[in-house]
Amino acid sequence: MTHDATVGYWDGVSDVTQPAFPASVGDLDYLSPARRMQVTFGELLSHFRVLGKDGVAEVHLRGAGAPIAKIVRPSPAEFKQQLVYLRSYADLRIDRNPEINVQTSDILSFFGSLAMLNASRRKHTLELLQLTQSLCVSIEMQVKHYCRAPRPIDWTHKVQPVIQTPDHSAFPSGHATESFAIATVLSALDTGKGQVDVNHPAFLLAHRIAANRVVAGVHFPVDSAAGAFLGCQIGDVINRMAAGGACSKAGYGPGEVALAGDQDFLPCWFRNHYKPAELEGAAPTSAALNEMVGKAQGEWSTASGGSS
Amino acid sequence: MAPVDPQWHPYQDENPNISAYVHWLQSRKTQAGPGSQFLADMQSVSRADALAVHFLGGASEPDAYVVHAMSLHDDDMRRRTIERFGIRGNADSNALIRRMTTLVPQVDKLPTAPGIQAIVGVIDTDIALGHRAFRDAQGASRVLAAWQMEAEGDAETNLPLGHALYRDRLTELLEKHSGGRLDGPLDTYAFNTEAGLLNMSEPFGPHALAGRFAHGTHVLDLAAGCDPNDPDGFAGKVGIITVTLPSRRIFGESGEFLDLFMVLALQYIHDVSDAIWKKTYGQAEMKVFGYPTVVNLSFGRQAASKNPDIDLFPQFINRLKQKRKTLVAGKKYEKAARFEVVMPAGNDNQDRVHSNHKLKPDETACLTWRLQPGDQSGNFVEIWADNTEEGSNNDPEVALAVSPPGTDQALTAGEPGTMLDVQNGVRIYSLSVPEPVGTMTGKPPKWQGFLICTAPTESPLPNAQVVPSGAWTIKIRNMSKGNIRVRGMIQTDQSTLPSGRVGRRSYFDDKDYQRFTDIGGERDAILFDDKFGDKKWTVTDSDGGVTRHGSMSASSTHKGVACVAGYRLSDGCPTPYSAAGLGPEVAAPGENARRAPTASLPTDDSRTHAGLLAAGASDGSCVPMRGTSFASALATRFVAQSFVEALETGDVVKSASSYLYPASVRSEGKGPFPIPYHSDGTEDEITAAKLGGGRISHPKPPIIPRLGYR
Repeated sequence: MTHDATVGYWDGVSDVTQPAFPASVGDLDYLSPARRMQVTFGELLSHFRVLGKDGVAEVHLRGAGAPIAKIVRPSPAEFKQQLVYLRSYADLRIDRNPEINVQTSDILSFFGSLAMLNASRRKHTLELLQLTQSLCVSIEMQVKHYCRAPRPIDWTHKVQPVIQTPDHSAFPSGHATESFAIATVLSALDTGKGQVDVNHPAFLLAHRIAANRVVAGVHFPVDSAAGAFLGCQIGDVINRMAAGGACSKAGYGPGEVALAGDQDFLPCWFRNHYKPAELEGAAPTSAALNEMVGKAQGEWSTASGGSS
Repeated sequence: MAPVDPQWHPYQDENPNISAYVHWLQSRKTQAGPGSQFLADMQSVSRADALAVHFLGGASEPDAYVVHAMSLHDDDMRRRTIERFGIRGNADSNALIRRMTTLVPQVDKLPTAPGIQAIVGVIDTDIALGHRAFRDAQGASRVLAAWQMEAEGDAETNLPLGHALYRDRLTELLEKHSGGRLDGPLDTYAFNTEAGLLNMSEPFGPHALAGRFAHGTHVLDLAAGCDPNDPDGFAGKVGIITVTLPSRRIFGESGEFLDLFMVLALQYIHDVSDAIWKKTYGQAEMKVFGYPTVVNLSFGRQAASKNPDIDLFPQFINRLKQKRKTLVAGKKYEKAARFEVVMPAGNDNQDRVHSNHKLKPDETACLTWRLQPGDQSGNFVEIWADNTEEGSNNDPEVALAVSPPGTDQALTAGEPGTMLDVQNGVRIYSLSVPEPVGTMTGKPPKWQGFLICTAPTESPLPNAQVVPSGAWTIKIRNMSKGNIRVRGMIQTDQSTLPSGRVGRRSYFDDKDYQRFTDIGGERDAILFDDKFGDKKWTVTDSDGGVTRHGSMSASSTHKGVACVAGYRLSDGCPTPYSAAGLGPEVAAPGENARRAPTASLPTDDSRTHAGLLAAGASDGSCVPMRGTSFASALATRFVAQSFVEALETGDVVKSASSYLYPASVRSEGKGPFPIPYHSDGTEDEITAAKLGGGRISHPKPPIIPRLGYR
């Protein structure tokens, strides 16, 4: 009725010569954040491929000469050895339960305790970190499937986790993958450096998020170690694709760098053992990602050029 | 005879009596190296640095401070303490000793206290001196003297650290921060900061008075707080002297330096109480010199030999009391007034930190020692072998093995005064039983002691040394020809910040230790079963191995102090966490060792209303806090009230134990609680381990009691 009353006679001819619309493929500002995420995520994921069998998973990146991450499942005997840590870490449950409960669905908020992460001043950073986490989920689920391993509850009834044990594989830990990936991207924004700085406080927080899953009784320390490596590599890809140039590679598990069955996953172990090697071959580019990263970086730089 | 392992080497070459704890601390700081990124233990380093910065204004020789502090004691105590705390004498130290004469200030700074009949001393942390409960009806302070050990130093007072405020100056500050009127509202933040009680600019300093709960404030309110209008006259009769201990980062998560500060604090209260009395009454004809003084010291450490002839702190108390008897020699007074100390039994009953094994020759005890993940402070275990066991007629001799998870170390023995590095971050000290300062019985026993030290299991610092968490094994083998007793004790271990959770205390994880009763309740050392049993007390603790019996704090487990346990007001049940004495048929190490608490007072209103209500950090606030610390504070109040009554009726003023023990027995004689003390005449031994002589009622019931209990 409004149309009939306000349009009057229309013969179907356009009254605008050329509608304004973004010309650059990297300009996604015209989209809502959720839609922007879908486009960028879909485009980014297309550069990855996960292959695997018999407990080994490789994450390939288009253009890189070798897998950027290789994850190898430990033996059943090693998982059994790790059960002593489920016993030890259970002593921390009373203290850690509030964090564990929140972290079942939200880990990003905890990084907001290290730096300003809000929807106004750091909205592009938040989008980038959410993108990072979504990318991790899609990749880690495939890695988990190829490396599928029983959960602690499957080895003994005495673990009695304080939260529901998820359906998917214990190894590698999704929480570790996502939190270390977020730490990798966040620390790069904070320091302005392209190389991963494992001494940044974000990695201590990532370790705590991962360790909380052992406290909860749903993961082994080796799951966290492998997840840390995988997450750092995914985060590193995001940093390097935006910067241009080659990527790195890192492997975890028997035949690669690995925690012994009787070892615990500690921040010092991670710092001493996560040593990615440089790859030849150029990383793929993504205009959408470049746009997103550039805007995120802009939220961190100050007039002096240092990080804020 | 155990073969001596040549890998043990001396640790006392430089200082024959250095404490093993201090040696460990110093060696870990040394490992850091100048400019090195390797920090073995953040707390240890920050603590050593804190000592230097705070006590000597930035000087790098904390030793000189300790000498400076201990110069007031007799030569023997000074020598022992100098050596124990690892001091290397130098010219500067000697100069400082010569300057120091006393902890008492110049006489013009002291208040007089006519009308005061007794003094309550409180040694604690976080004491809010501005609360109305510690002021009189006009708003002036009732606190005669207050030493804040961590405050800025004051060159005018004769104190080696911090500063002291005396009543007039405290009252001035109260007025200053109340808009110029003593009856005005107090700006407590400003007052506490200027008085040195609150320091928000120091990252690990005293912050509790800005929060809700303050341990020392709660204690002081229970021990000596009262309505300023004071219908009972308590305020006018009982004066207060306080000492605020430094923060835990300074005296140590495991209390490595706690003894030193407790000794200083007690000496201060002792000397200042007498000095105030002398200024008040000095020229008068009095038979008794000094105010009867009772000091509440709600601090302590779990582990030591628990033999008063070996441990330094009980020897100091004994020495102080012995000297008091001779204080008036050659003077006009007949005797010196009582100086009594009241301490809590401790809260370690359920923490699995105590073990007790009787070993025949060649028999081996095996302890599973569980170090927790996420523990950012070091861990210590003391092992003591003695010959108090029946059938023992020999000096004890043991070999020890300490095995991290997944390893199996060989048994090894070292001469007293030597140490063995098991691996990086793990060391065993074979303790030399020191020359006694002044033994209670005259001769130290030939006991054998070991201290096991480990680095933390976690550190936020890069490259910090850590040890694995999990199940360690401690094996102890009797290498002598007769029976021996071996006790293992895990040392007190708390986070640097009172609310912290990273000082996770280790525990003995024994498969035979039962944590719960058959119906799922918390198991205690003893149980009165009035539901399914035949209404009598029984021992429900392990008969050896990891036990609750014997978990009383080393600092209070001697007869030099009155030791106070806790019970629940609703039914009289012993508080589950209240530490237990040795229990039936277990010999005490010496006549002055304590087998049980003196008496017990309330610690909790009921199962669901934990703790006792008393002053919170903010003036006018009332919070529940739980612990035998607060039972001890109530006992202190009881003793102070007894002092006043005795003076008013002309009776002889007696010791704290002489009031508390008979009062507890009299109280039980009236059958005040649903759970009786006696179920039949033969069971005193069972209940005594938890309740001492019995349960005394709350001497200061709150105005609005929870659930109606008083």
